[in-house]
Amino acid sequence: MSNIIRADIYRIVRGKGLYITLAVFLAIILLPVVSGTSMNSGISYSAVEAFDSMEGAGGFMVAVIEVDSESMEIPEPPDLSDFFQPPTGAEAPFRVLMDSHNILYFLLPLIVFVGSADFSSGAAKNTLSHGVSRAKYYGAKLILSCVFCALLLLAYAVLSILAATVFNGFGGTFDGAYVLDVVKIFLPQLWLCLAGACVVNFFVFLFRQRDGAVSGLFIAFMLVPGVAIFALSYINDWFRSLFDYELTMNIGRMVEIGGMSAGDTAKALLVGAGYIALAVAGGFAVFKKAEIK
Amino acid sequence: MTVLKTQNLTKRYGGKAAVDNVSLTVEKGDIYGLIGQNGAGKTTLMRLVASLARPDSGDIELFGQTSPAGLNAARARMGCVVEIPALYPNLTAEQNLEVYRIQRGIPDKGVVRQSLELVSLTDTGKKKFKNFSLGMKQRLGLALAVLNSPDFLMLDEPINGLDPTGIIEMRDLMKKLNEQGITLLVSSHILAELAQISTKYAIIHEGRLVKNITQEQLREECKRALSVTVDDASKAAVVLETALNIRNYKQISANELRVYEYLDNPAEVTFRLNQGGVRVASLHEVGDSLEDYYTKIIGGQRDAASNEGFGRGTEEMK
Repeated sequence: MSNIIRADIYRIVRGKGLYITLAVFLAIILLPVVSGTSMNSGISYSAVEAFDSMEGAGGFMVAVIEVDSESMEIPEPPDLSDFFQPPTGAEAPFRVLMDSHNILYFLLPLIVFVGSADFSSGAAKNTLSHGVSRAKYYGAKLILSCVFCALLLLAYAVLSILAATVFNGFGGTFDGAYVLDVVKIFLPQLWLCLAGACVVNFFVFLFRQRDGAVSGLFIAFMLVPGVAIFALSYINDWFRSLFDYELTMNIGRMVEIGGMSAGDTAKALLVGAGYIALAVAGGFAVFKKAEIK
Repeated sequence: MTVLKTQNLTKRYGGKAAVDNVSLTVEKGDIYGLIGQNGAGKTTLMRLVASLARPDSGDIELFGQTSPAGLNAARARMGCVVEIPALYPNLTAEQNLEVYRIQRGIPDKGVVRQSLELVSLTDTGKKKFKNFSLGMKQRLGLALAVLNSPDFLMLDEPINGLDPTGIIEMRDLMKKLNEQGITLLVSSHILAELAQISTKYAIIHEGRLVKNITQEQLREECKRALSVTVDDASKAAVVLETALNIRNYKQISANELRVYEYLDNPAEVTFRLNQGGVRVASLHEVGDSLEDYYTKIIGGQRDAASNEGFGRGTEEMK
């Protein structure tokens, strides 16, 4: 299995795709740090929760302006200038990690390089016809996807601190308590991002071609939470509870893990476990008997 | 020693059998030619052996292994190119082979160079696989197949896309690999090429193995001869031996002989037989090329199929 992973790494670092993805990834980290804006793609925790609380540390902002229908006077909009202040190094991870579901979108091209490229080029045939069991093959791709996922999330946190410190100063004390606060958010987010990686991998092995995997992912991580659940929640507020079972929303929610009840935290982590179990088992079940073109 | 043995191997797609009860045996040292039209089932058979598709029924034995784990271990001793060689389009020839050297855990980095030298692809430099011609892709596919020094090579239409020089090189290469002890299973619909290298043949038609034949048997079946139809074959045999000193002949029936000599002088044979009191009803040259033989076999199959169809129709009418 380790040989398959090593061979994949050898191949991926020789392609342009990895570097393009990482360059965009870096821009996504730097832009909010420098400008104070969020780089939300699709619906996310920060988008939904900011609507309710308006107290968040940053991210997507929704301002509701009520017009007095009799006088037709438009009130002054609330002062949001503080909200759009670029974060300091100390604030950066808490603000950036609110949107760390973005990892899943960057994971897509990487996992496509890892898995889909084998199927779209037909190169998977060379491996599987050489006596590599499907379980080993699937396992190797899954592990590499998860490693990429972990590295991206780590880079997301660490680079945001570094970049914000360089541009805006650290603005706080870097001590054990600070690190612990970041780790408390990072670890559950990592768990949920790994669940996302498993889902991406599932789509890769389900469709075994790039376009299918991309479409599956678009539906799972953007269309379902961003359109379907969001739209349905306007019809009936009950549908909002579906966000509890949605990965991208739960990833963002972990930023406030300190204020969450133990039950809510456990529920979110269990949702991640459910995704992992279903995606891994489903992907392997599909792949086990699949025809390799 | 048996390298590959399939027993009643069957694979269906949408109710139609792509491979239908195929049983064949490839022995060590063979160059086994799989002959068949496009869509006959040759590639599907190879895909089953390579574990790229799963059989609906039947068994595969590879290097004596039949269990799934055993078969996977045995497949590590095999090299194969099934369908069009498929490698990473954005990597060079050398990088592609390096990927598989790492993946197969081959410690010797030199095997990449050796494999490329074997197929004359050492000078492709930074040219990416996606820019290769079909012939170059075929050769790189073969280089990959031999990367791990396999004992058994399975090549699907290896001369497709090759120019005449490439065909000769590929043929010589296959012979050379066989001389080094590698057993080959080669499919092709270009029979003339297979005829020049194969030691055994299997003819596949509509998913069924319709003929299994060795090179010697094929030579015997296809041997050029004078087919002589006479009133008394035994008497004719005596005349041939005494008057023409012919020893190389075969009595086919009471009225027919095959004479493998005097092919350049059939008139002399007719004259001597008449002189010896044997009435010659007909005398003509017979013998097939592999193409003729294949057409005869497949034609027979078609006839059988149509007769079968007619029979069924008759049954239904009754």
